Amino acid sequence: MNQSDPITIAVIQYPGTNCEYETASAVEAAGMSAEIFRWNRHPEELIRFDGYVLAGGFSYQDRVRAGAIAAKKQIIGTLIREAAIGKPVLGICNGAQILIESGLVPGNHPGHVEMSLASNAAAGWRGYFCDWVYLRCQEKGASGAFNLDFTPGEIIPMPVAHAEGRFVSSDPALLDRITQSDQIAFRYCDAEGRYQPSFPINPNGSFLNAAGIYNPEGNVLAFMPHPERAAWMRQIPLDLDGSLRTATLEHCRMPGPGLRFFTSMKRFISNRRTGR
Amino acid sequence: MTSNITIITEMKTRDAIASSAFHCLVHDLAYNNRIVKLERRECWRIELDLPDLAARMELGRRLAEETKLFVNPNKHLYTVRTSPPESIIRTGASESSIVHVIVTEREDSAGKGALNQLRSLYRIDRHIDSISFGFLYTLIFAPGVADPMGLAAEIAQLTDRAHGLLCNPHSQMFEVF
Repeated sequence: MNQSDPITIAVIQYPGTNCEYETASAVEAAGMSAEIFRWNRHPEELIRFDGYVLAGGFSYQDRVRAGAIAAKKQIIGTLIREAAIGKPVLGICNGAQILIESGLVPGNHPGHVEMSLASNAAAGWRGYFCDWVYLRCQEKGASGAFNLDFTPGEIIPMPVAHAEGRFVSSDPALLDRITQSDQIAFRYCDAEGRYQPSFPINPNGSFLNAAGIYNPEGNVLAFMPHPERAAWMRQIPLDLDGSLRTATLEHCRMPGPGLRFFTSMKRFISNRRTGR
Repeated sequence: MTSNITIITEMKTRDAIASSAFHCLVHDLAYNNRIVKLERRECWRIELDLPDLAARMELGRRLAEETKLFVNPNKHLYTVRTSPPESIIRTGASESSIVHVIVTEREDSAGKGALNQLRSLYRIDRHIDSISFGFLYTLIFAPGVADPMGLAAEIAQLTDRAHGLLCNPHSQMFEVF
């Protein structure tokens, strides 16, 4: 593989996935090539890709449990092998639920399911929630493939749309390990960056306001908000509190914070190719 | 004195969730030689302060038919039971090959939500202490399969990608009977 070869990303499409086209669009806007990859193609065809995105939606109509059936498919077995050699994998919303149900994240005991994305249960809110929230990037600096292009502690707006987004585990020691090993990539916060556990700052009751969790190696991210819906500033409501309130028309033509998940992915893959 | 009733609903048409779960067990998790059928129902267990059996059954009927919280008559059949729902299978399979698994949420939003709605929307709060919700899966195994209870528990409890499906123990609980 040469440094000049185009970077190709497979955007996985299950029956019920509904964000694959805007996700592919964001991948391409970041300067990579995207291919929508149906779940029932031969899994070995996945090997030629440089990275993978499990897009949002309702795979298998969320039957049994969100992500439960999709996680059992052969294609995930191949993703697990490719992730093990360091390729980046981003699971967005339902994609995050699939990563959790398959044991890829948090991945402290590879192969074992260590967490659940449970039904939203924030103080003052239960059930489906669709709105804009604020996230704060890791304060110690990027620890993985998808936040390389963010500054430590940066606060960004991002839309959420889910009913099962509460990261939980029955193992309290696991939550400590995740925290200590800096696997929480993004946390829900208010417009000033304060972590408050209550709704709507924390829209689902997730522990430590976790919005996205890495595997220990930092190449797999389960992320509940939708970066592909914030890839351009024009997608971000101007009436949000914070610095975006003063946005101009020119500002709206600029890339949004969501695009930087994909430019980070591109940089991570480029760095892998050059051995950095 | 506390007693309870259970409203059990099932789809009038083919249950897509049960079909998908069965397909997953047979084709993705290799239980194809052992499980022959999977059925699914929804259970609302209602704790009551109502000792009289006839009064409990009548309240169950009213909750099922006069509220829109438990039963959608366009798509559900329902029964009201005063005992756990072990004997509801209509198949001809031998009893020893039938195992029930009930899966509930550790934080039961559906049950709490239904109780809140009964009180706030329908103004029904007398006699009802609590409501809990669960999915009741009925697993029908091939005749002669060894340890059907143990097999049902293995199918229920998600441990890794190759084992378990019905219950993620980090947010759910299950009971086999």
